[in-house]
Amino acid sequence: MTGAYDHLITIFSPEGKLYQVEYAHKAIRSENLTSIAIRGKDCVVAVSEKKVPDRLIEPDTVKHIFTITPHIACLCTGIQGDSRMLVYKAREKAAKYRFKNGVEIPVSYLANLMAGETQFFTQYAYGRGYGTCLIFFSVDDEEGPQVHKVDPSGYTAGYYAATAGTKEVETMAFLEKTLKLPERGRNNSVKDSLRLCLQAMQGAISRELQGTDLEVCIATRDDTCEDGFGKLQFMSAQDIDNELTEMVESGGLTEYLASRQEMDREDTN
Amino acid sequence: MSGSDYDASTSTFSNDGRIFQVEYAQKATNHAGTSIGIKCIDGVVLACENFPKSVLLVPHSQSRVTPISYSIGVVSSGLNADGRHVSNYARDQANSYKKNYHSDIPVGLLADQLSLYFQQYTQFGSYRPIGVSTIIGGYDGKPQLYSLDPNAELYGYKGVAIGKGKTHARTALEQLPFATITCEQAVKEAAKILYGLTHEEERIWEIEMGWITEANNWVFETVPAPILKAAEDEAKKWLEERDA
Repeated sequence: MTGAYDHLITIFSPEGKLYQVEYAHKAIRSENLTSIAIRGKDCVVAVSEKKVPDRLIEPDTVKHIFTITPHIACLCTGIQGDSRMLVYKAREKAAKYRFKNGVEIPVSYLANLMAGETQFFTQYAYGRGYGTCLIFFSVDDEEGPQVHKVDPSGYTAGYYAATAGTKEVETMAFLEKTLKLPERGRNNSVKDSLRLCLQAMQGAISRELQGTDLEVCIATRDDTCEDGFGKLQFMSAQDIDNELTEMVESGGLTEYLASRQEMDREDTN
Repeated sequence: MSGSDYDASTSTFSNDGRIFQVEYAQKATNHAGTSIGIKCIDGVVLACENFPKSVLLVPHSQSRVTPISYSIGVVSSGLNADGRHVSNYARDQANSYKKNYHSDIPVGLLADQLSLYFQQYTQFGSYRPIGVSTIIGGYDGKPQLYSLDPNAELYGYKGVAIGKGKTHARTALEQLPFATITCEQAVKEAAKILYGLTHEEERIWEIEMGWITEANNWVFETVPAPILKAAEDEAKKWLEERDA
């Protein structure tokens, strides 16, 4: 009588679905935030919406982008507790790899390991899955800029641009349209990638965003680093504000709207 | 609001992505005595109201404000037994850090470890979520204040309240001058806030406070009885004037 339990634990429904895994995906939207990460030429730009739930909260302690190693960062969207646990596990795996192998873990491999973690609970009933989407990003010494998304079903893939959260579909559609073949944005500078992130974010979200509403982390190639890895930098609220203003003044939102109209036209045809 | 089919287990997501067991645990903390934390320029003050079950209990023997290490204290609101469980775990973590690194655990790190611990109880069907909210206050170079809920959400605060009077207390806390307030002033303000909450007539209740401040050499201790009494007297007077 699978019908009774297939919504409650991770067993297959008669149609072959795992309902608990689908519900875990819904939990990603529980905080009502959106995140975006985009690859550029020698950089990755990651932006997360930041809402401080309470006036008494110290804004610095509201974080969604965590450093895993000095070169790899993780953009988390979903249940905060689950994000912290997964970040802890990622740091542990990265540190173990570094200890055993003497070199830094490649971000694609770390994403694979973390996908194994999230897959575990899609197959064992005694625990629920993680209600978080992880986007690992880094400028790798061998592969260059990398963005890898891991979701609660254990699926992982490398992306040119990845989004997660409430406005995942809208922002993804805009980026798919804008990052055209053949480059898919691979020649974009930091400025271009950042502008694109802010465009997609502000375009999809109805309220006017300010520097304090966003968390931005940029991974860039670091010439001072001998092994060729990238470094991670977090932007201050003031700098984010300046970039947002510049994006809007240079017609960023008009472009977004035009893009959306074109997509709507294509849909109706 | 009942979760119907999806609320029997911590290891079950509801069909709209919620975990009802965790939400119910949050409600359990709303029935308990209020606890407050205030971050001051020269330290941190933790305060709570206790409700002894009977007059036969030795006064002030029920203690919720607990030192974890020399420089960190916690106070939990919710199921008292769960509160002690959390304090014991926090002490183990602090001791382990001290043994390994010969140095006091940074407040933020302890808070982080506690959040991971809380999270474990929100994921497995064989456990129920921890039934307390916890306020962590301490000093590790600068005063810090954190709060954890049964859903394992952790944030740093300037001022925070948990327990049954938390809505009223938070409104009062928002008025405090966090940029300039000292621990001495905070003790008085905390007493006022707790006295300002609604209390049933004839129900015995007591205030308990702990602080860590420059004046007592950055050691987390109970606020000395004379200072606490003076604060309570002032709060009583303030309450009379307010209600007059």
